[in-house]
Amino acid sequence: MTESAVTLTTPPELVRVPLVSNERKFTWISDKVSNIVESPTPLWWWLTFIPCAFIALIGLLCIGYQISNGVGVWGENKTVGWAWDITNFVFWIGIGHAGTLISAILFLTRQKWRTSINRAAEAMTLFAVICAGIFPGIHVGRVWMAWFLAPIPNANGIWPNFRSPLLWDVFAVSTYFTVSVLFWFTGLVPDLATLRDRAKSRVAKYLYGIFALGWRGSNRQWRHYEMAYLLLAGLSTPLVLSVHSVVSFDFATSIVPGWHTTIFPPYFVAGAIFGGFAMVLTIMLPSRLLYPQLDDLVTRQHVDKMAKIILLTGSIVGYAYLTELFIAYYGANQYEKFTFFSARMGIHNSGWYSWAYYCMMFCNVISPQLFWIKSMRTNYIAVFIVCMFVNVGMWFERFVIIVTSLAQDFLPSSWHHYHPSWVEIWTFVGTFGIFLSLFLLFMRFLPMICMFEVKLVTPEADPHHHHPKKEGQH
Amino acid sequence: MANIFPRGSNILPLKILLCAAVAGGAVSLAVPYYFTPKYTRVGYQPAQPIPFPHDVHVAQLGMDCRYCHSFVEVAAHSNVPTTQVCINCHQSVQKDNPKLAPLHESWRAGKPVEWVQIHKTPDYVYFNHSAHVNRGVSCVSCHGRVDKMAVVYHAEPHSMSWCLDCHRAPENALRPLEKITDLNYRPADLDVQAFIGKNGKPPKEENTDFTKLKALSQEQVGKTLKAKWHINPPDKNCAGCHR
Amino acid sequence: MKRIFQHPTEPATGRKYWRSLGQLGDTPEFRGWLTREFPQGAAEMTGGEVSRRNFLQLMGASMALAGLSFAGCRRPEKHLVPFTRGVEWSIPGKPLFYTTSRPTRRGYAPLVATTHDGRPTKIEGNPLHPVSKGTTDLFAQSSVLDLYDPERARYFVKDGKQSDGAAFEKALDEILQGSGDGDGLALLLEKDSSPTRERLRGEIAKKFPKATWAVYEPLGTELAEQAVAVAFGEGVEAVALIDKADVILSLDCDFLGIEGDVNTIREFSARRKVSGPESKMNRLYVAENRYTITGGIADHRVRIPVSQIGAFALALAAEIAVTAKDAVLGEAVKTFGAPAVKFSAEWIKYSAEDLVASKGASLVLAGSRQPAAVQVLVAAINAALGNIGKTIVGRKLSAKPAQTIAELAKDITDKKVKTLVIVGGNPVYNAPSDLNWPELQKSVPTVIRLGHGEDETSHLSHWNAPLAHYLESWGDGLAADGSYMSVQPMILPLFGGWSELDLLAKIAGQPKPAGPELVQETFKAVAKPQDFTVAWAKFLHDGFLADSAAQSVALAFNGGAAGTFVADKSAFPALAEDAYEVVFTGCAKVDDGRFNNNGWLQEIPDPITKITWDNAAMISPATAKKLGVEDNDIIEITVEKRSLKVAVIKAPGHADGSISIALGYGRTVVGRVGKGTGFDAYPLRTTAQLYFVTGATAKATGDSYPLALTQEHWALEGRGGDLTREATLNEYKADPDFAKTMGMDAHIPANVSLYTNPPLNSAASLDPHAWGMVVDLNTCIGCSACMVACQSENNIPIVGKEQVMEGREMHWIRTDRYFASTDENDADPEMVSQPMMCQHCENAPCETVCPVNATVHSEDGLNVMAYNRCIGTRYCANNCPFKVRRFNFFDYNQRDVLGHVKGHPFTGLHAWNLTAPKGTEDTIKLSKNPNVTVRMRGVMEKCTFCVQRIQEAKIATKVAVRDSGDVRIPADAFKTACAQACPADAITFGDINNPDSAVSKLKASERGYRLLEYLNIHSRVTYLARIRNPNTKMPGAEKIGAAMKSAHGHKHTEHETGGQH
Repeated sequence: MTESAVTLTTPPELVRVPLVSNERKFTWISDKVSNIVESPTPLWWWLTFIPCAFIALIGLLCIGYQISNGVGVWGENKTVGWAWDITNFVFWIGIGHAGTLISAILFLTRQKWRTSINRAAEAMTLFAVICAGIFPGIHVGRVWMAWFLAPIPNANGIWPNFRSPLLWDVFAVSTYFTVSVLFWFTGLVPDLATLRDRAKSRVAKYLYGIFALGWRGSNRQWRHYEMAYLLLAGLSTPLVLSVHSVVSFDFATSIVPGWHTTIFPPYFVAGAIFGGFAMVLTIMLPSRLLYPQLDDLVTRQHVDKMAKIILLTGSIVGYAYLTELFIAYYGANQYEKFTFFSARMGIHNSGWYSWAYYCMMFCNVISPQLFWIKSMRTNYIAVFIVCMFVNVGMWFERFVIIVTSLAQDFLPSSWHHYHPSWVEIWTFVGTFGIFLSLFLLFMRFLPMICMFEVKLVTPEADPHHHHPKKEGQH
Repeated sequence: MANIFPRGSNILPLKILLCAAVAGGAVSLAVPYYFTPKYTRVGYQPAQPIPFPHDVHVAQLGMDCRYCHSFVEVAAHSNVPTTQVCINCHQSVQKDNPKLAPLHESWRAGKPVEWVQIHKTPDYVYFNHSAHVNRGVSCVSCHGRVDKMAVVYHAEPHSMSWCLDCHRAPENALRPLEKITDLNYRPADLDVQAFIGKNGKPPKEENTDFTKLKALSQEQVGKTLKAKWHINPPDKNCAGCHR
Repeated sequence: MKRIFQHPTEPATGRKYWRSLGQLGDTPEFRGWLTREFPQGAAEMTGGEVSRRNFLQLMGASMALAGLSFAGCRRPEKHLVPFTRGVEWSIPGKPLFYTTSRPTRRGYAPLVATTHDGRPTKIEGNPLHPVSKGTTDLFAQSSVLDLYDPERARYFVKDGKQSDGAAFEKALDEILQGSGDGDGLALLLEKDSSPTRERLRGEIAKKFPKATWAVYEPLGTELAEQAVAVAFGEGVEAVALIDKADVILSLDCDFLGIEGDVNTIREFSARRKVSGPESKMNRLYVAENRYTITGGIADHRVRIPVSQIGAFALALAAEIAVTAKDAVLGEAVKTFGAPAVKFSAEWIKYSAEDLVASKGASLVLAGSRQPAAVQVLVAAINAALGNIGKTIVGRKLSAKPAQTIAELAKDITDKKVKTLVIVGGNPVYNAPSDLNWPELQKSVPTVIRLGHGEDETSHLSHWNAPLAHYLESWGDGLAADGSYMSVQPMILPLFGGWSELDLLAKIAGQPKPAGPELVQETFKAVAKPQDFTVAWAKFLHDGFLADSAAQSVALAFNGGAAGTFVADKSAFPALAEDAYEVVFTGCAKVDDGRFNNNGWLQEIPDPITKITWDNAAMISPATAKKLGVEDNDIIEITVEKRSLKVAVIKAPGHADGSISIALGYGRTVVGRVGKGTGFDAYPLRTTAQLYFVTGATAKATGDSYPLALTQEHWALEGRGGDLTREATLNEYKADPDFAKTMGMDAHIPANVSLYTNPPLNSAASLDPHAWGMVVDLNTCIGCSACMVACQSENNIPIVGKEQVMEGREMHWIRTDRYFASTDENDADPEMVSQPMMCQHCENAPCETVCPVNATVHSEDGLNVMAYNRCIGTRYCANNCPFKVRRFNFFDYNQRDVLGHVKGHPFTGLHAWNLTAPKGTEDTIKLSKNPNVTVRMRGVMEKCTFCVQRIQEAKIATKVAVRDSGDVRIPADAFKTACAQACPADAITFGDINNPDSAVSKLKASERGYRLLEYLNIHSRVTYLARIRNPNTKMPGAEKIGAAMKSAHGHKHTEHETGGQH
């Protein structure tokens, strides 16, 4: 991707495909993107939003039921203390990685193709983190006492236990959420200003105006904006890596066979990016169908590039799985061995949850290998299907780690099966409702694509774009 | 195009941020204070069925706490006297005082006097009087100058941190056992030589010459007794008070 | 929520009971009490007992006035309510201890009851008495819950209408006046050894010479008594001295379980104690049809159907007759040919050889279930072995013979009985089915019942009177060793019940006793004291009369009679291919059904099957395959015309072709605890075949019934060598340190830690103590007494069957039971029990992960739990390698644990939500230990090493030393509840910093090992490896301990999975 690759006589195979097709002009971009927000609500939007909101409502009711009754309405027991609650938490928090990764890391590495997808991806991140945040909140036995977690001076003269990974979680996740929100919002400001200026109704003008924070697009504002954005990008980059590492500490620092593994932090982060990208595509591909006018902005090569990342991270995850197995064998610890070879792989017929393990293996390791084939990477249907597999697989990964490790641990006497209760299931489904409802609201009221950044990668933004030789150079 | 917002609104976000910060700080400071016994209990002074004046009985008549609270040295619970105990004197003393009518009624009918409880620990706190009064902690440390109270009230916070203050530095409360129920006691009143003779010198002051010293400080007394008696109140150990 | 058949339903509020006592506070007779018992001005009261009973009244009254509200609100208007007059001995907030004893089939169990403010809250053994030595079984421990059972009989009931004591007394007088010389008057009672009862029986016989006195016990010992009568003559009983025997052979005798008591357990375990390689052990052979506690600890065990035990005994007798060259025995067995079934010849040969080898120090026991002939044969064997007078001694038989229920039934059929008085028992439920007792009882004109609760019998009675609990009544009795025991009340009858003696006194024409008069009279006769007052006070204080144990008499074995009896009576039915034998066993939890409404016992897992809240038909895996059933499937068993549908559970080590069913379940009229639990096997019992029937057919029905097990998995998964270490005595002698080199510890490198904890018990902390525990797997038999003791001491709630199935039982200490073998399909796996409680790790994994510091380490090395700080993340439980932490998934103490709708595997909508009725019965509140917090929903809890006892001891010491610095608690000054209860003395608790303490001595044992050492957790609980004492010649001797060694080898351990569930 470096400039040096480009010589005066660029061979055709190295000629870059433009990120925005058909040499679109600035005005065209502004119109197309803003129109989505300005045009009247389409029918399909209602048809999707209402069911989603309804499911979200069910989820919230289940949460209320669980809090008023006690954790007992879930299927957990003396042996399996965590199950779907923490599985869902890790699942969602993992998804909440792609957005910031795309906006921050790809921004710092000057990956210009990010511009047309980062806005949506970041929004998705926030909503995923919101869903994630629910579970640690409600899984505790006495929610009303959760304020013990906050290090505020109190009449009991006790502090939280700073050695506990669970406390680190609280800090890591909340920090991550805050920074992501700031980052996302900062990026929104110029586009909000655009919407404000285009808005017809006074209300819209006023509302967009408030959040545009009086953006005028003056040179000074642009200079500050660039600096702020750069700083936030720098700030969130380590967070992308830290959050899931910290989440993985919940398991890595414990002594449960199957949890107690030093490989967890990198493996979780890779898995998070893996799952996150899959979810971005799962959301992006359908919306692309719904807004064909954006075809020129979100092109096949975006999909292709993301598919490559999925292939890479997927392989990293697969490698991590195998490493675990090797260490279990090499460590010659009968408890570790049992967890991996019997409880998970089901050798010697003791694997209660082997099906989940093999499901995970297929979804996360086998299915992405399809992306070695270029035609598959650019085939929306194929990509979508694989992404669905990955979503399922990543949920099962957490389920396998949490439940199979706990259900059959050190003392066979205390082994116990785990069954989810209907409350658990509906709470999880409900979070999807929340997630999708929020995303639909976002599509409806905010610019899905970062207009001003996309403009930067159009030929029009290139002072020399009339020069035939330099085509494709940004 | 026309301005939708006045110029002043440029610093509005900043203002909002500032207020939010202040409010947040206030809440996080207020919660631990106002939601605790420190705030809710101190000063609680209910009316009792019989207006028993501690000041008269202790300060004027010089009665010892243990005459009525007779089991304080043997039991976790410091008992309230039976009607019988009161009657021992009041069948002759002040027996026509109308204020004592409920007492005589109780004696006649065999129905207990229902005193209103003032000092109360939660169910999950297992405070033990005997463990304290036998090891140098005086009544006054937790109940204040009852000998000065016409009507008893809640003098000290009794919050957990308040307990810990003493459990972490017991030397600030310890006193010779014979002074336990002497609410008037001041360390300065101790006979220095007698004390040193009985309990030895405070740690780290072994070489100091106390013969000249007129009065001992609470720190000196406390440190000496703490060392001599091996006072080790549970400070990190929850099980000391929570079972 | 209460459902009382035929009774006026109670108002919803549970406060009724208190209100009544509250009213008591100002009733005239209450003032009467005061004026009578408290002379004006007197500070002290005289007449100890009476004054205490009043103290209880007062206490109840004042508590009632105080409102007894445990509300945790910020500042409710609360009242301090002192007594009006001081009550002797009572210091508010301090417990009082009284001796008493509890009636059981095997005699009165010596106890000490702890009372708080007049409420008995905890039962312990009486350390002064040789039978108890301070230990208890689980029935004694749980009896305190029976006292407070809100579903006890609360009222006097006449024909279903509520009445009162006075009316009952009046009615009784009329009936008795009409009874003339007692013709038509019959009493049906339970077996009991109370001398006062015998005395009253005599007086009743004087007043009503024609009256019938019948005794019925569903699990009786009449066969054994018959056998003894034949072998040794009338008027004596034969007592086995287990601790005198080096070699014991048990033929279907569960003498450590349902056929034993704390005494037999202690006598046995005393001979299993191993202090070093040089120590001697007894050797136990067991032949039984199902795994029992006894079989579980045996050195050699053989599976034999109960009906074949007789044949086995014959074969053994023949062998012994030869080896011991005993003519009498040879004579007795010569009439029999080879037994119908094939037994392992070596097994018989070498066990017989072993028995003969230790003549005079061996012991053969026959189960009381076995026919008299078999038991006589066994007596003959013992005679041949020269055990009579050595390991088996004679004792004068105290009880006079009484009519049997069968004879009584005949009288009723002949319309001879006009008035039937039933005291205790429950014949309608548990009488032999061929008597058709319900119809008989209906046919009697007047039936008077004195019973503990609403049951099947009370429904068919005209008068129902509430029976006073033994903690509510005066009485006396004989302990297992025949010594004279006192029974004294801790509290006035909660529901005005009558004791058995009260009723008998009335029948005998005396006034209903107000106090101990009756017992005192007997006491005078028995003890003949010079100074009655002193002697009586001592009697009550000690709980028994010193050296009053029954004097032993010489046993003369009547060989001739025995021989002929065996020859005539022996009949050994062969087992047909498709016919099964059905064995009726006493339940280790609810006995014969009398404890069916006791929640603690219902929720304690059966020591063998680990079933809670039910019974089931135990069958061998092979039989299950033959019947084509799995666990939880329902089979139909048919004997002649009687049939029973019952769920099965595959029991490893069970004899093929045999079905064992525990009695005492499937009650039709019982409280809500016992309602719908298990299957009633009584209908299969007949007078002829009370304890087992043969020729039964069984077939699968296709239905199934969910059983709630506390242990889903039976196998050790090849972890035996790591978790439950074991060796034979010889291996132990060869390698005393075997336990240290077994399992993973031997193969992993030493733990290296970057961070070292600040040392516990450092000089800085000034706390000299370090609490630790040792569990001796060699003596632990898995009887589960510790579990109930813990439940009672620590206010542990029951959670109900649904929650147990969800895996949420709350027991702080559990007894893990494994069936281990190197061969997955082994029909004879060995059984091992392992008590498991919080190990109080010094590097506790649970502590580091708690985000709110709710569980931390104390200076004396406890892993403490602050409930009111816990927010319930359950992270600690996940990170606990022993899974001993228990979570309050629901408000088990506040909500009705039996109320919610079934809906497995999904929890289903249930009554746990906020709309459900809140609060527990007040009587249940009374049973709580005031020194332990009652936990709420959403918090974690676990074993605390009885921290309340530790704190009490610390404070007591500090109070004692006052201004001295010596704050160390004297060695072994107190015990945890489990250690105190344990009859096998398998649990030792104490201060490991104190070299004089028993625990620190045991910690030094080379058998000691700590679990999962490789985790570097430094647990404070040490297990002493199990030592077995096999006879190397015996078949299968090489297998013993093999499964426990598996993890030692370097081969693939995963292969060695045992039978799996």
